[in-house]
Amino acid sequence: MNNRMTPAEISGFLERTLLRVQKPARYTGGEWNAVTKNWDATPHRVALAFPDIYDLGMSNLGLAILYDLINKRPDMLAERVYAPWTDMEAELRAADIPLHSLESRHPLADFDVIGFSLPYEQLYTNVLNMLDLAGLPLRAADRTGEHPLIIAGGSGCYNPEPMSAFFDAMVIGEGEEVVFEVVEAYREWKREREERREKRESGDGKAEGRKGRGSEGQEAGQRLPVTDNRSPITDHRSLTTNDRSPFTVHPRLALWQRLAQIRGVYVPHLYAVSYHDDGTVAQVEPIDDAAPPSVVKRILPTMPEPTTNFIVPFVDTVHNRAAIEIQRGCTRGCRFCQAGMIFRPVRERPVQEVLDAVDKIIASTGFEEIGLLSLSSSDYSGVAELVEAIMTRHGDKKLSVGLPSLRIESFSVDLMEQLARGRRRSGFTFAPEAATDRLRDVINKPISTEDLLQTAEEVYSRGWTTIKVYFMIGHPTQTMEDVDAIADLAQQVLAIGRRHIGGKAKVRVGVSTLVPKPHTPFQWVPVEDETTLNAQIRHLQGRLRSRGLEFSWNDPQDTLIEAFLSRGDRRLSDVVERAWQLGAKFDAWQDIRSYDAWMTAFAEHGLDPEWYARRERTIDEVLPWEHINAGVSKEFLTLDYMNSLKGAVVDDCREHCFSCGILGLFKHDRRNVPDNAWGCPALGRGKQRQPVDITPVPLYVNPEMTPELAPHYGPRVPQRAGLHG
Amino acid sequence: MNSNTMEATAQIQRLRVTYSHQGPLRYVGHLDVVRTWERALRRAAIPLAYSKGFNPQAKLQFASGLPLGTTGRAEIMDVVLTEVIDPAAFADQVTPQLPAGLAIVAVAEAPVKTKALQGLLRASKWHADLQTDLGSDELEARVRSFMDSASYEATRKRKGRNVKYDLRNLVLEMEVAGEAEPGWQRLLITLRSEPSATGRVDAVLAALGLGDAVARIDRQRLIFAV
Repeated sequence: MNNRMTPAEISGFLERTLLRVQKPARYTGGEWNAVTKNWDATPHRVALAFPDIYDLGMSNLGLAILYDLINKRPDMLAERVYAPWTDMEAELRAADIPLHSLESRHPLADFDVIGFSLPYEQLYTNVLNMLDLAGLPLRAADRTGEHPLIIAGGSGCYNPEPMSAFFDAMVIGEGEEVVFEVVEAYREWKREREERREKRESGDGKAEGRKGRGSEGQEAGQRLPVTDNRSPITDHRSLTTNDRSPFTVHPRLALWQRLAQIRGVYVPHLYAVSYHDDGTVAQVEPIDDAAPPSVVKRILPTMPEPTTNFIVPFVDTVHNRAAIEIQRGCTRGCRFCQAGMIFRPVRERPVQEVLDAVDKIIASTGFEEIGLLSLSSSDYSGVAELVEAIMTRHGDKKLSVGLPSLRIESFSVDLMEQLARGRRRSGFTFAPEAATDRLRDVINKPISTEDLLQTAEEVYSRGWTTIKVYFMIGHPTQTMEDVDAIADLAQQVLAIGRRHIGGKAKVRVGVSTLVPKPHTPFQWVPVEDETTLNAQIRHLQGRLRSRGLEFSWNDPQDTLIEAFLSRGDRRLSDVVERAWQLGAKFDAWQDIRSYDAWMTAFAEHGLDPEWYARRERTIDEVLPWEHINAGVSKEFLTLDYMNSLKGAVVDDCREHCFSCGILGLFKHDRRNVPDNAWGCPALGRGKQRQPVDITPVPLYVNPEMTPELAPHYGPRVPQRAGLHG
Repeated sequence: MNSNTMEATAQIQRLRVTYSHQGPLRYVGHLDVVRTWERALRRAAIPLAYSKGFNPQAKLQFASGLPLGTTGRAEIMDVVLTEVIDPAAFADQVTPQLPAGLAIVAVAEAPVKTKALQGLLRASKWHADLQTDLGSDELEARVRSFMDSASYEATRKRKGRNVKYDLRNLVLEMEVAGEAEPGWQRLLITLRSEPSATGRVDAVLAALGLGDAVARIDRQRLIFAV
């Protein structure tokens, strides 16, 4: 597609087109708090891209934070771009209009940096679709010195390999600081190129052509990855189809080298992957001195200042509200949960800072809803104080406050009751994730069925009519009995509801399938096979049919797509590209995604999706993401996986540090923040607040699973409560 | 603090706000426009009155929502407040909080208890600027032919069913005003806008065979029963 066009031409197209597409306000920009800077007067321009439609992308907190931070800098601007819905995509393609930003309507190719958010795997094909709509080469290796720098960030980058061909670099971890270092690296690279070009044009002309190009790389790095038979750069068709000499250095090499030297930035093109005969990874090694053998994620030592001037959309979006992170990270250690592992350490935002942010958000946005976000709100030490203070200040202003991720206990019902004051009560959510005590011990989420039922009593007796209960199937060691228990538990909860409020009582049961994620103790576990999953879902369908019960589940085909994309290696880049060519996009949208395109793409590349998703991996296998260091060590994950198979529960790590690795890796940061700023123990003489063990020692062991060990540990303690005063 | 939000808040004052609705608001449906106003008023810390119930709604009453794709120069809404605010002060306070496309034209006091604006609306005056190759003679002829006919059967979707109605009866006046700018012809249209009989400009344009032309449709005035 065309990648150049003026904003005025694009505006003309929009006026001719917008009334023909659904929800046209997705494409106009101009919302309250959107920032449109003077394009020509602002030297560094960043496009923040979300690879799904506006309605979803506008709710992404990460991009909202970066938008705010970048636009606060006088010499930089950030503008937004989302995936157009299928109707708008057809219009763009028909009129050959490049994908452009919402604010100034510049084509993406006009920006310096395009940063994609990759919060989950089902967005990958949309990235390719957006690059194509922007008229940009999909693969980093096909881009020249004239193209923007294209990067990604977000949890998807913790296994960067499946998308590694398409980005120049991928940011691992928190982006608030590193984004500026990336822009700076690009700026320096561009300046250097320009200087060299000027010198070439004005000078004696002896640095013409190849030599001029080559010298770039020589300055920035010592060892040149020129063509040999195994470098991924030189394997690439850009070097074989162009008539450049096979020994030419890639025009972006110097840029990649600069980026690779930034902490937390992974430049896939500077690594070579080799494979064993059985297809597993033999080694991932740097092929350039600028690239570290392992890329350590970035963190901020304390929570950054909260964003308060959120863009207020004209149209309804998925979460039409502002959001404040009250806490990053989680100490619970649920073994299926990637967020709980990769967002360590726990850092709390002081209550006063949250309260001030709420005031500022109301004044700057007028939103009627604010979400207080964290992975486990009940563990926020100031949660009671916070809720009370917010309701005292704003209880009369028609503000609704969301507090997701509460533990299943009566204290949570108290909190929700305070927040719901006088308003309609939507459903109350429980996420036990497994239906038997035993299986919850396996996943390290030791809620007891008894506590859950007791909390259900409280919920129905205090005016809620609906309880949503979320489970997963496919946990390791799960039997049909555990699946059946989902239905039992749902029926028991419903019976409690009936007793309190009669026929109005509802239970919504949501069952998803475990996709074992990289950097979790379950990363070696296979995804349950499709026949078994279908049988389990059918069984639950049969048992969850009565009045007052609603049952929703994930299609096993969707699970497979998620699984190979999250667990795949570098070879999947070819598959992703081929699947996209065959029509795969919007993989998170059931009625659009194309399972067949994926299967064909795998077949054409001689790869097997099942091998990626459903093969049990051995502990000594080199995992495709092993060169990405999320802070939690492989040793810790291995031991905790072993614990899971014994039904051994490990305590909340605020109670007891098990040396997961994060503290050792970031000890310098830990020393520079107050003792109570992290969930991890403070460092230094006389500062230990909690016991430290060098391995994850069980709190207790499930006697059904390991009777011989159980007596050596304590009795079953259902979830730790009351860490807050 | 107790749960008193179920009671309606006191209604002390009603302000009648005339505003223009342009720019990106053209692509925003009426319900979303209502929310856009509500948020702007909350940013301006205007003491809005709310309805009773579990889902309190700010008391904003609009004379007539604009159809998607149209703009308005003098739209009218009532805002009910729990404290008395001087109309000029209201405008000063709210104006800096309005997104591009919304602007206050005038604010006046109205009786707190009054009939709903919607029920008093009788007619609306519109400009329709059309990008068309049609000469003004041809356009004149089509307009005249429509206006000279006794009736014109059109259909609209209502609850998923096509309902027939007489469009001619809903068009009170229509004339060609000439070129608004080169390549754009302007029609002046006055439509009946009663609760049970509301004409739409896009239906009129379709009746003139101009349904596919790029059009800028701008409501000039709302006319109420005295």
